[in-house]
Amino acid sequence: MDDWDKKDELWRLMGKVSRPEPSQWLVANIVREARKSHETSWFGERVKAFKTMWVGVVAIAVLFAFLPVFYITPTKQPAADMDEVAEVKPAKAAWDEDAVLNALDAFEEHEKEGLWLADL
Amino acid sequence: MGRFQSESQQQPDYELLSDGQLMRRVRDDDFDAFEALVRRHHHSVYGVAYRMLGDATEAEDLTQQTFLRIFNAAGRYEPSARFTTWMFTIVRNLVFNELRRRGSREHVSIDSSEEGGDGIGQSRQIPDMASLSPDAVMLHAELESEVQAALETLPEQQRMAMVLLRYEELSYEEIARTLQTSLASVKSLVFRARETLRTRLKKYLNFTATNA
Repeated sequence: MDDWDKKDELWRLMGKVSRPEPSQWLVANIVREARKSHETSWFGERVKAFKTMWVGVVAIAVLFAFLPVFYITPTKQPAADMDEVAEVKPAKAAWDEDAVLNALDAFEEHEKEGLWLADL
Repeated sequence: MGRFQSESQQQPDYELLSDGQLMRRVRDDDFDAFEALVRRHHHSVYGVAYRMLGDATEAEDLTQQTFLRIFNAAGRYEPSARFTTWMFTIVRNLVFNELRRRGSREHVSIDSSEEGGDGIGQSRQIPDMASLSPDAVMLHAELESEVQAALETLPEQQRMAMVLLRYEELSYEEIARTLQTSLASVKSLVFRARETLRTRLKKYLNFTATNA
């Protein structure tokens, strides 16, 4: 597996094979294709940039179109709803506290007399 | 277009620039530099492609693809390794892709490779055939087709290593980088390829030894 000796028969035999020749137009074809590829990518980049710019312009236009709508929409509830809530609270506060306390006292007395609490 | 024309008036002799310098110019869309690079290396790329694929049209197509890749990748090119090593890595990738695309058609056995001489040598430049006798011309043509047929019997990696070593005269280290393998592996590939070729071309080896 040493390096191949250049005096080796096989080395010399393989060297007798002539070099394959490409067509004389190959270089011109390659350069032309490269130019075409470059121009395509240049144009593609411009189209992409143009599209991006238009998407941005449309987005800003849409934003400005909807801004007045946001400003007109009320953010506070109507005063009528507030009054309705205020009316409910006094109704709850209108319970007769004395009646409730009397009822609880009566219940406690009744329980003390109950048989099931006698053991306590 | 005018930009390129006006630049060409003050451009240096591209033949004197190194591959790395040309690549830097290609990065700046200098098509003259690109053309100089193509002129400098297209024979090597075509030669490897032809010897690997055995078809002149496919070899030209692959050569074109290789240089277009180089052109498109110029912006990312880092001159850390030799340009030719990078170039042959691209060739190797494209060749192996093509061989895989062809499928088992390319993996001919030693027995079936007898018919591999058809069409081989069509695009070769026969060196100064006018000075040779008809027998010598025939022998030369036969030798070329036999060597190509023998190369085509080798597995992809062995063939690539052999072509890069013998015809492009790359070092073992450069071949290892191109094939993305170890140095020991390359030596092993070349050793096995040589043994196979020696067996296949035994008749011609004896002939050249007696005629040397």
